Amino acid sequence: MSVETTYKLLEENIGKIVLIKMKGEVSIRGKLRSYDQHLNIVLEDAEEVKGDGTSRKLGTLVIRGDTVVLISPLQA
Amino acid sequence: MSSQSRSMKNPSPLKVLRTAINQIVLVRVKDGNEYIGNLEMVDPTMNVVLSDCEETSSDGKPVARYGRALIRGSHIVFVSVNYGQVAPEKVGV
Repeated sequence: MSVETTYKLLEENIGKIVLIKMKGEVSIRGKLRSYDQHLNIVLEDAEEVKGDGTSRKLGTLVIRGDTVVLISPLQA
Repeated sequence: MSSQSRSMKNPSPLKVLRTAINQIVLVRVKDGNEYIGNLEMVDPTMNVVLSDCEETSSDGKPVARYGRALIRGSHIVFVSVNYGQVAPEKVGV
């Protein structure tokens, strides 16, 4: 049951902009397209956000779930 | 929306990866290095085979070139599946 509620946050944010923090000081911002049971994630129009505030465009990104630390919606 | 029509519209991460076969992709691995090359194959554990592959270190400097390279899925952080379009100047067409 609790699995359903945690994945609900992802389900509700499909098509919206999210911030993903990964192990090793990497942050990615982009539009959430899909995810699977491993927390592998597809982001569209993704940008890597660096520590100094600069960003780098990466296009459509498939992110491997095992490095994901945090996923946070950036728009209501 | 039924779960089936959703999966048609929002294909799963591994399906998205498979649609990038024969395109130029960028693969970031856990040590920070990046590999840019033509995606030849993908398997269900996310192992990938790249051809005409260039390795760059995390500061962007070229490290090595490989004719063909298999990258272990468990070592991958992310894959940019349309890097050839996003950064055409970086892939040397």
